Amino acid sequence: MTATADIPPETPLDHRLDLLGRGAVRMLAHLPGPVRRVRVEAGDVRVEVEWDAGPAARGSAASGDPVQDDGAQHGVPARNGGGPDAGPAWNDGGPNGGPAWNGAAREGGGAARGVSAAPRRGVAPHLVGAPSVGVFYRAEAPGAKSFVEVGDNVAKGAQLGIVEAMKLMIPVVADRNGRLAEILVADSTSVEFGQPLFELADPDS
Amino acid sequence: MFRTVLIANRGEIALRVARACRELGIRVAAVYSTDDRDSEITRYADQAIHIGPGPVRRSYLNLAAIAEAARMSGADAIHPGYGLLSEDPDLAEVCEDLGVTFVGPPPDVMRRLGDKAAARALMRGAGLPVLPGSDEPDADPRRAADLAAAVGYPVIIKAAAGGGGRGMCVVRDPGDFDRAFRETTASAQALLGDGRVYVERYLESVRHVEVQVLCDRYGNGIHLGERDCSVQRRHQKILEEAPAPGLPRELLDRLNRAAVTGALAAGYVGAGTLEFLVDPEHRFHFMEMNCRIQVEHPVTEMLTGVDLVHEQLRIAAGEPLSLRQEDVVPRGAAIECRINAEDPERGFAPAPGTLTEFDLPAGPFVRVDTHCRPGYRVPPAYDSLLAKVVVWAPDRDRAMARMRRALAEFHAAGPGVHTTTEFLRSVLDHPAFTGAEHDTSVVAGILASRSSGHPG
Repeated sequence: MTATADIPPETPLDHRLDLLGRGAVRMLAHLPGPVRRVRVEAGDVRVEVEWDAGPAARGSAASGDPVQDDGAQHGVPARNGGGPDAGPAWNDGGPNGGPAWNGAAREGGGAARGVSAAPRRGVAPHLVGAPSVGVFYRAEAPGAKSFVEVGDNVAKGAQLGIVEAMKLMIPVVADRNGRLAEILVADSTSVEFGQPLFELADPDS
Repeated sequence: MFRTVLIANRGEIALRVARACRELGIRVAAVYSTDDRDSEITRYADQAIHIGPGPVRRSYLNLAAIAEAARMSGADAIHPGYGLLSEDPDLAEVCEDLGVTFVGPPPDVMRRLGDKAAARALMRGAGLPVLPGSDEPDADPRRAADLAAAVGYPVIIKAAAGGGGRGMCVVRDPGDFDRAFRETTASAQALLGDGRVYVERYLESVRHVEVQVLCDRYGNGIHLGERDCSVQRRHQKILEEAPAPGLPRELLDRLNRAAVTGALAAGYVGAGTLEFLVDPEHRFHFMEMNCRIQVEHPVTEMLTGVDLVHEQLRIAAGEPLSLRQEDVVPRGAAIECRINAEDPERGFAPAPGTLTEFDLPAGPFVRVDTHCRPGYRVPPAYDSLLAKVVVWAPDRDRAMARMRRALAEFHAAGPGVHTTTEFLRSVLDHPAFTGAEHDTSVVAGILASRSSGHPG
């Protein structure tokens, strides 16, 4: 099955990959069968997961095409590994143990490759990015209560955080209604323009 | 020397500065806008920071974003390149506040030289010849008109905060003065955020000659010779060369010495350029001083063997000048052609697009400074400069031959892409240029002869 994540076009590749990796991991948790293959693309955003569909489908539609990881890494600038703070490590999927690039293809068993245009609920993250380069804060002031916590339902226009750039406090605002699924950046962290800060899921109905 | 330099610029100059940093063992931090996310500098740098969306006001001209990027990268210096914030005293001041070294002159020196009327007064005080005109900007059209009459027509009305050919207007007839004055004031206010203008005598048939200087923090200053930038279209330089051809060496030596005197009188620090006009009687007149590395700096590098960006960084790091005047020995002749993504057939309108084909010249004594590569999409929002082709040869004739050869090897094409390559070749074949008898009107002459169908 595939999902198209709602990632702003200006999101840098490294963040995209990280997010896609997380998306893939989340999808794996919901699979009806054991995973056979994971494919992550960052160019036009794509997460693809193949799983064993159980006895009914076994033996049909074995895809057998080789697992490739070039889709994921295509277009990623060859980085120059300059020093400890020279950006992300490209191929380790970041702190969340990101995607397994060479999806563990299991022996035996046919593959059912569900391709649905409609993303699963909760699988296609909606991201709220940093309005400026600066320092991200979750609260109005040190020690104050955070604007939001994971699980909160937020309305469009609600303030989620602050990015401070040269003593200017720039609010981070929800651009749609939703439930706060994840806060992607720790308090007091330096962020770049457009870097995803919050993930909104569909609001609880 | 610095540990990390943040380059607050884009395009070819960002790469040029990054290369100098690499050679000096300095870590490179780059900034980029959304439109530049696939640019070469983001790959080349040790760290690249996304500072905002495409429009320069929200990214490369956004002081807060640049300052945050400096903080994030741990930079101990900011190199501003040319254009953008390179001559913004506010950036130099913000750097002081942050405890980061600004690679350029002190903010007060930049402020004084950035006001063209103040710069004229300063240089006149230092004994340099300055064209007759206002000593300070005047907002009163009547007084300005009286001054214009006293100076003698034609006059040029210039924005005090102008540069790069913006905010100027030539007036030949006293009857047109009032309207031109009001229009220039209004456009300077709109374009530059500063409506102050001043009046200066306008010279016809002049050569535009500028001098590269280097000054350290300890009152030492040298020049690296002159560059001739007379090949211009609407005050935009197209081709630059050194030495200035067809002018007496004695005159040029005096001009070079005057430039050092003026720079030291201004308290200048770093690499700077003083621009002069040389009239048909071979008198020179100070025009303005630029407080940054210039687009055409490679011409001087080819002639002298001095890496100007290295020198900028050394001076900014507090080192005394490593060169004495007698150590600077210009040899041979160098020419630079600026190749722009513009369509000469349509009034040099920007013609950006995707460079599906991009072949660069090579061979002995040819240097190409570019940020483009095959497949690169030239962003429409920025400067149209694609590449600078620079050649060196033992004399001017051989340099022209080498440049013709290099331009013939240059090939850039793609949907929507037009370049000025062919036009540059027509300049190099123009008899007035090859005979070094040209002046700043040479391009207008070539274009006029083209449109009338006569060979130029």
